[in-house]
Amino acid sequence: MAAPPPANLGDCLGDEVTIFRAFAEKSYRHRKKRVVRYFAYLLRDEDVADGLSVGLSPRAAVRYLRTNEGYCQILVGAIHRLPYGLQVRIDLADPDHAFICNLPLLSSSDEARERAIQIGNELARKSDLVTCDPYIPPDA
Amino acid sequence: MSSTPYPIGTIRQYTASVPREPAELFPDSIKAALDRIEALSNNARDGEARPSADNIEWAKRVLLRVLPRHYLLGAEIDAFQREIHVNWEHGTKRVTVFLPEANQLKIYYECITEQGIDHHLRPRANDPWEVSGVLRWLFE
Repeated sequence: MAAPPPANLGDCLGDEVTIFRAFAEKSYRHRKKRVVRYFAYLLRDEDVADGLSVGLSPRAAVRYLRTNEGYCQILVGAIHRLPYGLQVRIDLADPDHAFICNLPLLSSSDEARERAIQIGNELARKSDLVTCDPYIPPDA
Repeated sequence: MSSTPYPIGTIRQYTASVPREPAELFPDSIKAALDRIEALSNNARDGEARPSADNIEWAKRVLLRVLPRHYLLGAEIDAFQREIHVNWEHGTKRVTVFLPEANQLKIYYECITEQGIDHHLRPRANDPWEVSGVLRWLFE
């Protein structure tokens, strides 16, 4: 039987919504080529319970980071349309925050590794890079 | 009278032409990337997962076996948690060498075709020489 979803996950966002993914590290984007890299969409050990953190605004995307190296944006529909069962679900504790759920954890198995890198590359290709410079929200 | 047919002062010590460290055999870009990962690991915050010194040495050993050496010029080296990833791109092809920990090597390669994305993972490519073979496919 599948485990119940974590309590802080709400409904799926609509396909027409744009979400924002902050670059926690420089490796998440390529400044010279101005492209997003798969690292931006790799699940970390600490993300397993909920999913990959995204914001419904640039401000929300960087809120939980001490520093950032810019951010990108992507349409929720582009994620839902991929054939991997991914879902973008609202964070019940923060209506300006969401999670990309059902991403495989790279280190859990070889099959998960292959799928994680494949999905990471596809999401990176579908993302629009907004800035490679640290984003500091106005009046922050 | 000297018994040698050449002036003894023209002979230089053989060791003078042998690099003291393997890193001297790397292009500057690779050496800089490895130095950066080493610095990240040395300055890791408490609880932050970073590549071990053993894994960084393993990465050097693997990359030293990449032939011809000019394949290294296009490589991008990054840390992801405890792992080291080395990436190459050429046209529609992409190769990722995963170094999850010392003495482990996994190779992912993909090619974008008209039918979609053709992708493969060699999960136990523990012979570093295999990297050169996949790179020959990448650059052919």
